[in-house]
Amino acid sequence: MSEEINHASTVVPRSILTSVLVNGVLGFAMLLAELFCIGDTSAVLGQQFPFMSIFLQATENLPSAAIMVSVIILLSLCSTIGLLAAASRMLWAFSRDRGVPGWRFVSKVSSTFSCA
Amino acid sequence: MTPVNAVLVTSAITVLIGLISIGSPTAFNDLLSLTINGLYSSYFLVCALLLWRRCTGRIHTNIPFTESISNNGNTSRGFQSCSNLDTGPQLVWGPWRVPGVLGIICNSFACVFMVIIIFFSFWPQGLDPTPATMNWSCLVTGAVAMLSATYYLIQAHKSYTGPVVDIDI
Repeated sequence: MSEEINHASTVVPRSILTSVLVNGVLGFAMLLAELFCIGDTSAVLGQQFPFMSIFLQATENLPSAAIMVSVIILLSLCSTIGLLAAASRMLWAFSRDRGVPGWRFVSKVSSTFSCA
Repeated sequence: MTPVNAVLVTSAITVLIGLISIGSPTAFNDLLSLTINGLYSSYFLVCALLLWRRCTGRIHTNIPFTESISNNGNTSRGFQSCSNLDTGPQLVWGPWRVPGVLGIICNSFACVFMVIIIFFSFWPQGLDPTPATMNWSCLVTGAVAMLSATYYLIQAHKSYTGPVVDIDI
């Protein structure tokens, strides 16, 4: 992905470190706040997704818990888009080295969809 | 210049694998541990090889321009008079790195961290797993590894000759 970025040797490390710092600090604060609000641990632990039942116990109101869970689903969608970009560039780089079956199709690039 | 076909193929494979999780909730947990296995094992390969090359001193700080041009073919070079282990393009450091012992410590910490995560990602959810509650990501990871090795032995050793190296002109 660094090949599609201008001034990649400074931009890429700065963006990696900034995202790690911002996500780490805010995620740790969110984790502490959420674990602090657990009321009944035995009801939380048996669930498939414990954070949903933590929200439900804290608000005791199903629509508000649904809205809080939908915020997390939106964040998961955004992180999935970034992960898809990284995985597709890895597949492209390996097919450019002719290591993957179907490398002639996968290694094509298009200038109509470029971001730079 | 975005690789459109690669993004489409990756999206299609992701959608098809994600449709499995509609079928059963245990398959969803297997998919999560499979993503962790795949990512961390591929990062671990790169990190371990970098640690090995860094510790044996095979990564050079700079190579003069003319020798680097002649090195990019598969010829053995004149200035590197030790063994014939390094035919082909030579490893060179980039503009910035963590130098010396601190780099070795950072690299080996990353490798140990990844070994711990890969080890614990293969475990099932609870004690005494039945075939329905077992974590089947070990099956998929092993099958992908064996299929890749078979494909390399049959076909790819003719077409894959190492990474494509850029030459500064």
